[in-house]
Amino acid sequence: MLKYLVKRFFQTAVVLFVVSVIVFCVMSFTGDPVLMIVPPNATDAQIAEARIALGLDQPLWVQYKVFLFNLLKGDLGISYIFKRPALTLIVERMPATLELVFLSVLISVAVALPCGVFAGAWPNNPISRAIMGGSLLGISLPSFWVGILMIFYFAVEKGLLPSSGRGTTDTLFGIPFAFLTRDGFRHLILPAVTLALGTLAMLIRLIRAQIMEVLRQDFIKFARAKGVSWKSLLFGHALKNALVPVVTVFGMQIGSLIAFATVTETIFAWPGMGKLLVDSINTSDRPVIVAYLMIVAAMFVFINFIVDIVYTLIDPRIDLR
Amino acid sequence: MNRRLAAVLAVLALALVFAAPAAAEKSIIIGLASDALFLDPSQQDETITNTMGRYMYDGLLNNDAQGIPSPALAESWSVGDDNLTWTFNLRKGVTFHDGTAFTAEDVAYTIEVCRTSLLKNFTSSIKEVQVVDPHTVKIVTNAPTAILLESLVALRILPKEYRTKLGETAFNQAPMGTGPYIFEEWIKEDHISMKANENYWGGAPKIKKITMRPISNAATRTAALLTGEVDIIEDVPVRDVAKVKSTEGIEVVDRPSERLIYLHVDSHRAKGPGIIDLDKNPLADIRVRKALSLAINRDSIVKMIMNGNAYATNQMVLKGRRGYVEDMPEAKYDPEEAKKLLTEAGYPDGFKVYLDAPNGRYPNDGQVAQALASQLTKAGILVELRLHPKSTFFDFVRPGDKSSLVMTGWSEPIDVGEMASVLFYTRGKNPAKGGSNRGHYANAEFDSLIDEADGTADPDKRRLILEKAARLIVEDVGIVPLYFQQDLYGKKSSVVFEPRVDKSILAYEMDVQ
Repeated sequence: MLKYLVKRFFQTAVVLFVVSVIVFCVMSFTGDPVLMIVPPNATDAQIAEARIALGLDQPLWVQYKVFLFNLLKGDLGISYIFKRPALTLIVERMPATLELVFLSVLISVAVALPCGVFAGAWPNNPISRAIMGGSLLGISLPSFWVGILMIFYFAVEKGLLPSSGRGTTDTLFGIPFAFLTRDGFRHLILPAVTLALGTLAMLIRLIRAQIMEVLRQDFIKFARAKGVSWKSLLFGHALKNALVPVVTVFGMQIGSLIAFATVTETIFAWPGMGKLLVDSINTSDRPVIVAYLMIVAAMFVFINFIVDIVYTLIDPRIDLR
Repeated sequence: MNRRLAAVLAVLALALVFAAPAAAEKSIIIGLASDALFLDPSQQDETITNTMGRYMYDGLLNNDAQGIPSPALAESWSVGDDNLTWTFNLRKGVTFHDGTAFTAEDVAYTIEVCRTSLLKNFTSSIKEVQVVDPHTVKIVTNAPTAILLESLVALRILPKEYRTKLGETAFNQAPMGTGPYIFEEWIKEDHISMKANENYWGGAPKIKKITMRPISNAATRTAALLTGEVDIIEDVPVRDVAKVKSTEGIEVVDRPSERLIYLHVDSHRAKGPGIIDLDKNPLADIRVRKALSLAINRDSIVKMIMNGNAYATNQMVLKGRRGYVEDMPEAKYDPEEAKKLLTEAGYPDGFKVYLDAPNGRYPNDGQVAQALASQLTKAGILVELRLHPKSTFFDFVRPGDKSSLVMTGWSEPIDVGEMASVLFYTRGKNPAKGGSNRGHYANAEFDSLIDEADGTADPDKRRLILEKAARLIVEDVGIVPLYFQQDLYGKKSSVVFEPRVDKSILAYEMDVQ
């Protein structure tokens, strides 16, 4: 296991290095950040001065070298716009995103597991057809449209839930969370459901396909012959064997939800980190964009690591070495 | 069952008892299009930051709703015989929110801070600041400066002692000034809350509790107004205006915005980098530039693309600002005349030119540019449209060797003189002027008018000179003004609100009934 961990650590370092190079190069093709931070009537001399102050007058590889050394010291740079450390900006908005993603993941799993298994076990049942039709809708509808629709139906027309924002928060371990208060939780429902829809629909389809595949295999026939009940056959034997690819996809999905809940956050004015990314792109705030993407890359690597560990729990035949 | 009902009623009665005093306190929730970048007003010149600067701070002068400076922390002032030395008598008995007295030292400190920040263009005319006594400050300008008062509005007075103690970063998180509202909490992208400063020198505010909520998605912002979660919103999207108007208890308020959408024309260079099929610059010919303006149907752009939510114009600034010309001729639309002028100028078959325009920077900018392209092409100026995302647009159109025809916007908070020194003063003549002269306009007569305006300390004299300058450049087609945008607000009928030219929603001037 230790050997595996060490190997994994080096892989991670290589991945992050490659990501940093790519991100840094791509960034240099976006707009000129200097023009965003000088007054509109700045003279050419003032612009040049600002460029030097940010170190943007240096060739790209020198800029990268500086960035890399700072990174090794744990410094991801200072936001051009907010003049605060990029990492702080991201971290202070992270709890809002995490609680949103957590609830939407819960919703996805709670709905997708029973629906997917049912649709896989009885594919010709009218209910299964309805589930599959619904999941097709869930995959195809863009979240910004669903979000707006939800706001107009549940908030404007019916007045059941608040339209936007995070509402009242309460602190847990010193971090503010909305789900701790009734008002905050009410604010959480619509964005979480909107965010869950896509994942949910995809998971249903994946679980169904896996279950159908597994049910055709010999060990299922054998188990049935042995007299195993339907329930334990479906959820014990079939589901367990269907889960490995589901867990892979699910892991990637959680990563994307955290990193790119951007659209949902913007629509619901949810003060998470996705909105920070959009704003930073609009203002060419390079340090924030780079820091964001580095964190996202690190997160994906970490989630994949967790997924690998989970494999061995689900299927003992899988050996990490 | 009856007992339970009684219990519920008792609880309700109690709730009412406790709720009653709270209900008497007026409060308002304001839905904004974005969060403030800073609550330290010396760090950015941006609408929401400036608005927050109005809530928590004062300037020596504050703008009224029309953008005219009026006494605030300075009660009165006078200019010396040299036209350079301004003496300001400061208001006595004013304190910052923590109780420390406001003095001339704070004024000097604020100007020093702004000299090195993004607000430095507002301090560039100031040579030095002399603290005469705690209630008198002298400001010496480099040259006679008629716009000093307007510049001073932008400099919100910072508490020297408190800000020095906290440091720049911490001050931004716990801001404090002399303004009508006291900072309470700032949760980024969620809300800013403030309470009334009961000791405000201008009188205690009527509305006691303020919550600012940034809701960047326009449809969501409208929804928040419709559900009653917020009391007033800015930037109602044009497509939602009808829906908002038809909702009972909710109203739409509008006024012309400071922002002009206009064209820069490459009017004086021999070769135009944006001219596609010729080795010279047809736009250097005044007949061609006149044809360009004649070919544009501003009214149809306003009506068809802006849904009527804009104001076609031939002016550079709104009425009331220096440089608005009372009897400026209306912009004409006459494609036949345009064709005739082009033929006269020697381009009977027209010529090809790139039009550079932003996409997503201003409302409907991409569509407006498309309409312009097709109108110009019909008249014989064959436009190829280059639309740029907003993050790369201003970089691309910087003065230089890329474009000859640029559509963009400018929001001028002072007057035509300030606008012209940035956008239309000949490049290279004066390092402080012409920085964003994207059309490379070069007119010695125009430049000397701007210099003359910048050389007087008398606002009325400046006004006359600037009116001349504005008329000159519009007739010379160095600028093609298109339209002023419209500011649209949605509010509950119970909110008493007059829109301001600087687009700030100021609770101090408002009331809730």
